[in-house]
Amino acid sequence: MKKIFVILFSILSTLASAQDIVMSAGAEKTVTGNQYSGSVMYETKKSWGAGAFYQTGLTPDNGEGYLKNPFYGIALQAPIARSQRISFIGVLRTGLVNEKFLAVVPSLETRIQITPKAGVAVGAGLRSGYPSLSAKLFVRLF
Amino acid sequence: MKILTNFLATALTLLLFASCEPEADLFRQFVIRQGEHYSTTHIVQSLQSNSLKFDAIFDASARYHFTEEGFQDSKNKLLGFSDCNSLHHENSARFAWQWFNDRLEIYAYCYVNSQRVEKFIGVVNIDEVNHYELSIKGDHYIFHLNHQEPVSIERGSVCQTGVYYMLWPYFGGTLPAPHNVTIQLNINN
Repeated sequence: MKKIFVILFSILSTLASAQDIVMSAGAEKTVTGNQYSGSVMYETKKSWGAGAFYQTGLTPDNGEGYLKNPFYGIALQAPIARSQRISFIGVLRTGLVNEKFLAVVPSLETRIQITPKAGVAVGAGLRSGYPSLSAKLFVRLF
Repeated sequence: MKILTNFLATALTLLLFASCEPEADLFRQFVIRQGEHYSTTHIVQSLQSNSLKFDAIFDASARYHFTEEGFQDSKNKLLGFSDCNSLHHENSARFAWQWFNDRLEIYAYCYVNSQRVEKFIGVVNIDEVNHYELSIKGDHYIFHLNHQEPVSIERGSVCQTGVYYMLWPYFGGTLPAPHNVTIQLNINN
């Protein structure tokens, strides 16, 4: 019981020091084609974070809709190294592709803060057994 | 510093989606060593689409002759996946191959509710790029080899949402590879 309190206290302490909701939009180049994404992350001062994402490929309308392999789920991030303007972050996305395939996607991101509230990030991950590259714009809302 | 950072950010973003360079050669080589069943490139990966499309190249190492001829028609596995939250000996679908009658034969190879189901698909040549597609359509697996007529096998009763883990090249059957066998695969969904 004592251990549970310690863990809960640690989590609450982390949440209490959190200060940012970060929204991002970007694209990822995967072995199965380009995908376009959006995410909302709850981020602590030290760049730990958790949130949700949605991404999908777009195809010409073939009667089956425009979306190709939509992928949504939760994302967790952990800081690897940080400076004032550039930081390196590990990200783990877990979710469903096509609403049926459970997928886990690890990736590494380099973030460049352009203004105090906005920046860009580029990353490399592993999708379907092959490397993927991503780029996105992010904005800190509050 | 600010200009440099902005320049870096723009350059990296443009670099990512620049298309002036040709696509990289994404063929990945799998080697099954003599005396082994599993290929040396071990990858843990799950299927993330309703279809698995890939190109494969066999070289001369795909030719083999067992002294015990009864094993010559054992199917070697090329590529496929286990079905939703199933082990591959319960529900799975794979392309398989064998060197038989002095030709390289390709098969559809499935486990459906733990029962093995095999269907002949066609013949391919050594050192030739061939295109393979394995799709889940409703309650069937559909196998395409190049532009040949598709082959269909009924799925077992499985869930819809879960893990569909990929199954990579495997030699056998019962007997291991009699010599090193090299296969090149390029997944291109």
